[in-house]
Amino acid sequence: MNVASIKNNVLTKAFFCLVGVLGLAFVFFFFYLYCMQATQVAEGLDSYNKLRWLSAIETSPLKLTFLAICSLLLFVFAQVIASSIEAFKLRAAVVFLRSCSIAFVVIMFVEPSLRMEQVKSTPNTIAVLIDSSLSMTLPMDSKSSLQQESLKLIKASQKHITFYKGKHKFAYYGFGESLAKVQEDGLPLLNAEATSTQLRLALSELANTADLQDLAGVVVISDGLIESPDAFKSPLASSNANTSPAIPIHTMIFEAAPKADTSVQHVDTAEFSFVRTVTRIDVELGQKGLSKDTALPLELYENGKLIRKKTVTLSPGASTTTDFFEVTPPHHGTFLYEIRLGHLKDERTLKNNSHVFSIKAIRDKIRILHVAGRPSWDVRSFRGMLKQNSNVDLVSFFILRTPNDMKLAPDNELSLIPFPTRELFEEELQSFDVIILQNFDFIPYNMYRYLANIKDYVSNGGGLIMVGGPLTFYDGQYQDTPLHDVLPVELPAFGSVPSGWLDVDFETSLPPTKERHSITSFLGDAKPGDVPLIPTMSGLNVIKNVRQNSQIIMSATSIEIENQETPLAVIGEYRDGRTMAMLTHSMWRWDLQSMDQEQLSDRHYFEFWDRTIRWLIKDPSLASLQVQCEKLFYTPQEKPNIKITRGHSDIGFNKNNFEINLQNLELNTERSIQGAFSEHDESAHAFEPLDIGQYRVVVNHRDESSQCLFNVGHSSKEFRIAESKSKQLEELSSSSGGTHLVNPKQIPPTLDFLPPRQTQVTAIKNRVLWNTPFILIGLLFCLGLDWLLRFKSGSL
Amino acid sequence: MFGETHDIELGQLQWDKEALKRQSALQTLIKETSKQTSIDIAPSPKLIRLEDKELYKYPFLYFAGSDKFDFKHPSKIKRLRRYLQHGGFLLVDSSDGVSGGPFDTSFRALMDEVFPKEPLKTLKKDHVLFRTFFLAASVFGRLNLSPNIEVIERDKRLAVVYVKNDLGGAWMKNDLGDWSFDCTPGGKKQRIGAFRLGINILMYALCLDYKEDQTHVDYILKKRKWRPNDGAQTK
Repeated sequence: MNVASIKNNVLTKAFFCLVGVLGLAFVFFFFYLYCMQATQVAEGLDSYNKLRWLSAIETSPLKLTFLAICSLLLFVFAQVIASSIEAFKLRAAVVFLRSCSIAFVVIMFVEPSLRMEQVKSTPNTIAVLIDSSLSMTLPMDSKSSLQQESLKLIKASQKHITFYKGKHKFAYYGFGESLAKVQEDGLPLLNAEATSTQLRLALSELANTADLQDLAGVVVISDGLIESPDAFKSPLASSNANTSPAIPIHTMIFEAAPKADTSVQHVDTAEFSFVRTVTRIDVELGQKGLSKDTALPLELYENGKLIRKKTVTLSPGASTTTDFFEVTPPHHGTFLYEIRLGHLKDERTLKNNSHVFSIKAIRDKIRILHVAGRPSWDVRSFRGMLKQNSNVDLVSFFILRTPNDMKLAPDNELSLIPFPTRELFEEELQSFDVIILQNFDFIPYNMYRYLANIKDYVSNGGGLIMVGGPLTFYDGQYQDTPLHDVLPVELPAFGSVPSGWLDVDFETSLPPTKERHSITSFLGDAKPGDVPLIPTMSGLNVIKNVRQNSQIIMSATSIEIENQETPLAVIGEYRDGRTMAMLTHSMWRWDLQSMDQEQLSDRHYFEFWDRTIRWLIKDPSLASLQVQCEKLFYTPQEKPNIKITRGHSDIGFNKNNFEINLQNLELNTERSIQGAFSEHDESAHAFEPLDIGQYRVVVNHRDESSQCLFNVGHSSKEFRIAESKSKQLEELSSSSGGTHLVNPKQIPPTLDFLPPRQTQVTAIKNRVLWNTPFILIGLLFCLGLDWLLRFKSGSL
Repeated sequence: MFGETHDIELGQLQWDKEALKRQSALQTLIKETSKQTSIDIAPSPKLIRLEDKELYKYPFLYFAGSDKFDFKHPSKIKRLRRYLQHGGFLLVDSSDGVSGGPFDTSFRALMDEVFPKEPLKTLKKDHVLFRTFFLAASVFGRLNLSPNIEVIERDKRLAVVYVKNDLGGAWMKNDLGDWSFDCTPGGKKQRIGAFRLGINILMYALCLDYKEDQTHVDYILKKRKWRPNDGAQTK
């Protein structure tokens, strides 16, 4: 084969390739026109502004490669088969038709369709966070508060806000302890009442509630009195900081004109304390703007009552001064304490000069002082009972020898020690939870002067049991002593009765089961013929009468006193303390009765005294009536709620009514409300919002009383922070690409915000293009014509 | 009527129908106790049998003897056990005059029946019983046979105290007011010691380990810091 022939052959193949390509292009071109026509006639096309082609092979490289190879092979195969045709025109026609057929097959295989999308772009959001904490109520100047200034800023910036609204939309939030969305027209109603300014929390909440992609930026308007130390790390930073730009945070703060201010900055104490044990309260006082050393009173109030007072000196050189108080909670329960610092003549605010907090006093061991006038079986049983109680720290003093007894042995042969009256009844008295005076006469020991101390001890919340016997009550001449006032029984005037001690045997009786006090409610009733639960006892102290509001929990019935019921055990309350008078010295028989009666438990005696002691120390586990204040601290806008429950409906008491007394501890005012238990033995009550102050709720039901405390006021936490965190806020804004402004008059129009980035597909429509019959007809037509041409030319 | 105007009445146990020993001994001890201590005590003890219904009114029983007695008495043993378990105190005084005498043997056998798992054990000399009123570490009686007291403890208290030196013999007086027996070998000093021990035992029965507490009082008093010391005025 010569060169000319080869050249001719190559040109021929190239020509037919071109014809084949033309065939492919011809079909694809007309299919394209068809598609264009299809999109033109698609319904509502005007509303779709984005087209996307879809196919069955999607965009898989593997499928694409496979399709391309198959198409090429078919194309080559068509060329090769056609090369056997001699006639030039016929060969060209066959190549053209077969290329067209390949194109139709490809279209059918690819299954093209058209996706039409309606896409809109939306403006992104500028979040405006306005400080709504209490500190915003502080004065900016003589005319307006910081909050009023911040609202003025927004009002004065309307022109610039409108400018920004071309690209962005505005969302307003109040923030304090949390973030709350506010409508623009509701901004004037935004109350500054949050008790802290948690900017970091607010930004975190913003990040959670808002789509970060939608945020153009944040504007923070505050007084700069921000609490949390880590508030200045922006939680809005994107996790892929390399690809997403930081959301700019612009900070605008208002600072008041400098004015001297003193404050209770911080109070540090244990949340829990032990009853009758010293608890330390550390106080940090702050000052700003003092020009000289200033002495101010520092006071500590317990449940609204002033209990400790001292003077502190604040110096201009020290922004903070520390001091401390020590308090001794007198009984179990929650106590509200308030530190009050005296103020200057013209302070910026008095809202930071006091601080209210609570301490919950819990029981350590019960410390009991047991003093007995002389040893006896009653003393032994009492002591044995107390010693068995592992929760009791017992200090005992028994008079083993009186001044009237003979001294037949030198002191060094005796184990006696002097009765430490001063130490017990003056120095350490307040450390005891319960004092037991058992058949004790004070006269021989010159103790009259200490009886007033015991009275004070009881009025301050102490518990007292006076156990009877021939030496005490009337015969002990307590009727003319301060201690007589605290006893639940009144004694006859001295000399008015022949003897204060009735040496009689008696039976003990209890009130009907349904009316028993919680001290004796555990005792059942002995059935007729059974051994009595409490044995016959002997010896009764004479009383004049039971005091009003005291309660007889056990009575004595003796044939020798004409079967009249006389009080045996009487309980009562004196101010904050509780007392019991046990008017006999033979309770030990109850303790030892089980020696003789196998069917009786020896635990009743222990249970009785254990409950008595728990009642005296106001152990809440003994009380069937419980009142709970829902919270300890309320704002003046909140409704204080209480819940009252009783646990003794099981004993069948039907009275459902109770009385609620609400006492304002500072003003010493009181109001009463009636309530009733539901069938589930509970009740709830919500008071209307109350004025600022400390309150005690006392609920009285049957013979029981229960109480809880709460405080109404604004937390002073916000006001304690004397220094604005302007510098840190500036760092926050600069690190995020924002701007920091102090006392701005307007929001400037030059702030940087992220452009709107988010597009939104609002409608989608798909049109399938490959399933038109013309594709199949075209394919059949090409193949048929191919066959016909070759048949007629004899090239089959 | 019980007790008249006295806080305490002691009981003297009569186990069976045997002749009572040292019947008037307690009266002298009571007299001395009333004279020297604040305890208000009925001058005469009550004779008590275990089957008496009023047993529980007598938490202190004195049981003296020198003769063998029948300790195999199930109902009495059970009742004595219950008495001692539930707060009763038994002072046992052997007047056998010899170690291992008939009373001693019977009593030990009785205790084996009452508390089989808790044998009598010697009381240490630092026990609170020796200082409840007098500082008396010696165990005196009419005789000086044993320097020790044997005891059985229940619930951290002494329930049975057994003295073998015939305490009652040292305490007893005859109708003329003279001492019934001489105390040998110590004479008067030994008798005083016997009274002191008797008063201490009585004081222990009434106050338990009260004197033990005294050593801890200062610690307990100082343990709780209750008085504020912050330089402030109390209002």
